[in-house]
Amino acid sequence: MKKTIKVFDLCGEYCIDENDVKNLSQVLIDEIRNGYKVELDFSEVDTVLTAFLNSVIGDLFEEFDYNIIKQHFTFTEDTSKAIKEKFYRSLENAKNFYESPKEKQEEIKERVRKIFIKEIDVNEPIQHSSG
Amino acid sequence: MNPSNIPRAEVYDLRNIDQPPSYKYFLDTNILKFVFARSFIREKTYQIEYYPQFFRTLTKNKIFKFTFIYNLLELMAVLDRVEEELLQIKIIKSYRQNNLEQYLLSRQAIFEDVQKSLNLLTTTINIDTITDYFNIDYSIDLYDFVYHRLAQSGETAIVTDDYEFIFIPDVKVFTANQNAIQTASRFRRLNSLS
Repeated sequence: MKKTIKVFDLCGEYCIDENDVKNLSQVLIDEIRNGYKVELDFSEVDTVLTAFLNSVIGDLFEEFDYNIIKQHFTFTEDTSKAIKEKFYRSLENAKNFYESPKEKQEEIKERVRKIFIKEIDVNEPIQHSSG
Repeated sequence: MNPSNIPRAEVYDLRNIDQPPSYKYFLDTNILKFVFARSFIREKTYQIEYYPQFFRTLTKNKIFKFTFIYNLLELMAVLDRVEEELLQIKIIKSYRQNNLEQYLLSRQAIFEDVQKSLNLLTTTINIDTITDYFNIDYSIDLYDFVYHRLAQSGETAIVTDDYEFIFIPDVKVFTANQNAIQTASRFRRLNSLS
């Protein structure tokens, strides 16, 4: 059974932020759980950031393994090559990470976290002198 | 109190802004990072929550937003480090060979995302800028000072997670950094759009 999910209906014209990630991820997860194969329709969508797809793929990997994800997704015919490439690239990157041993995953996660969180450390409260 | 420790910017809490004013928004590298380079390993931080959201709001409202080539290069450096970790490029040589193409394509995809979503500007630092830089009474690096000069024109706002920007006089700073917001509020530099 196949179900077509129109991304525009869930995320609008711009696939950028985490609220939209959550909206889309939850629907995709539910459809796969319900036994559907999902056809993604990106018509009317103007912008799909790579980071957005990374986040969606991250959510999917929390629930399913690589083979299930790969087997369950197709795209409508009018989907651009660029979007498909982004999706599959993100999937392969995630596979590389999630198929590493758990210990290795934690190690990589921590290193990536430090790259992102470095700015936060800089922003720790500065003690101002008074008077 | 040292003047450099007193907030002098007009600070705005961007977390719940639906209708941003029509300034030209300069996006600092730290914002580019949270919008464009976040990987599938996602931290539940306010940066990941609010900066892409604000970016989307600016995009939706077709408001001019830009960054400098210098910031894009900084972003690429961050991305390189993330990809190196994810693809373990440094760790195993065979991985590097097998994943080099994937790595370069990921880099290219982000580059294209930025190019499509933002105006990219070049900037030059001339001797007058450097002279002025040595006469300021607050702490900031030279590149950030260039943005400061730009922002003082009045029509430009800076979107940043960097706490230090609130100490720059006469600039508009849009941030979700709680420390910056609280400090600005304490010194009555926190502005409201209503």
